[in-house]
Amino acid sequence: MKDQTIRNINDLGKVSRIIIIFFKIFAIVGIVCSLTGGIIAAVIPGDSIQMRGSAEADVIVDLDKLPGKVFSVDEGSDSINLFGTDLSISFKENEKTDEGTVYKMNASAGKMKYSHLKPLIVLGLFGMAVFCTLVLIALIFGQKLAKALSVCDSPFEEKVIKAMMNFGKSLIPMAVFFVLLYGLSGVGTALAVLVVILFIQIFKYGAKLQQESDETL
Amino acid sequence: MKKVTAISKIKENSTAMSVLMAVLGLLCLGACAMGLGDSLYHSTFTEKKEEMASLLGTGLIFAACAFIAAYLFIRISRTGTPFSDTSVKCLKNIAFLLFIGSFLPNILLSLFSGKYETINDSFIEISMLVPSVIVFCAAEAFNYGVILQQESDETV
Repeated sequence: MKDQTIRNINDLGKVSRIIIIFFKIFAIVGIVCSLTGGIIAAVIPGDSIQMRGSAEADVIVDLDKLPGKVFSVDEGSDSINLFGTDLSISFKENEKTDEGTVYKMNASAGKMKYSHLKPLIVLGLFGMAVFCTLVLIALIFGQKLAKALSVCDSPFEEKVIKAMMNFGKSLIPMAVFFVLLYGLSGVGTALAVLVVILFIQIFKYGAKLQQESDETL
Repeated sequence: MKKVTAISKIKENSTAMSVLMAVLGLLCLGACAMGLGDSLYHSTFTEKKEEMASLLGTGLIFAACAFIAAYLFIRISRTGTPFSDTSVKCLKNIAFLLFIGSFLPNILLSLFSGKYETINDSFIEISMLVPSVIVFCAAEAFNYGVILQQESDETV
């Protein structure tokens, strides 16, 4: 029973190593692609791509069905400076129909140059490269853990626990990155790190049991 | 580190982790209920088939996993022994659920649309399959820990 369990752990370690190799290839490709993309995006001249456009929409409001004290429609126009371009929005009453009052909403963007969006695109691509690097680091330590499991005589060996600790530590920067980028939705990754840390403690306890077992023999 | 110290640390952290897992499970259930309720209320279920399949498939699986994990950590914090048959069973159940979760959204989507369809053009979601393998590895290690624990108890 004991030997069979160890054999299962060794086999699972081998399978994990193979899966991790695939993911490492994807991570490396991701780093190369995002770095190349980032460099290309940084080199492209700022005035090589320009964009301008407008949009129109009808907003139909039936004021009789809405509480007048709370709801009112303000007509007018406003302009926002977004990414260095003038974005203007206007809202005007057009006609009255059976369905309600029809308001015409017009939005138009002035000449938007690539240089206005360039910092955002370059930052996004380099950010992606950083993320792929963090994943690659975690995968390298994950592979070491899988290797240790594939050749171990007990999952509670010092070598395995050390590899697990390193793997847990390598997940911390990734969790921080996720929390910074996605806010609350990144908490899941942080929770996974906490589970790994708790498992390390449990494995340390397992090491004590293993020591006791070896001493008894 | 002494054995007693290790047990007390595991007990403390397991209590905190059980609360976190229960909260996570409730959040997942809440998100599923809100998403489904919103879609049914606005009659947009057929338009949002993909989102609904993903939300129900992944969200419910995550909620179930979180509740099982909460139960596992409660047991560990009460008994102070992480290596028990219940722990192994719980971990294997989580691994199995994650495995099911790697293709359940696609099956739900196919059922909703009445023909074979997949999310992200892949039948199996690798990001669910990998944790499933990892948890199964941990379950096997725990299984070995159960043997050691029994040996230790018999020696005492």
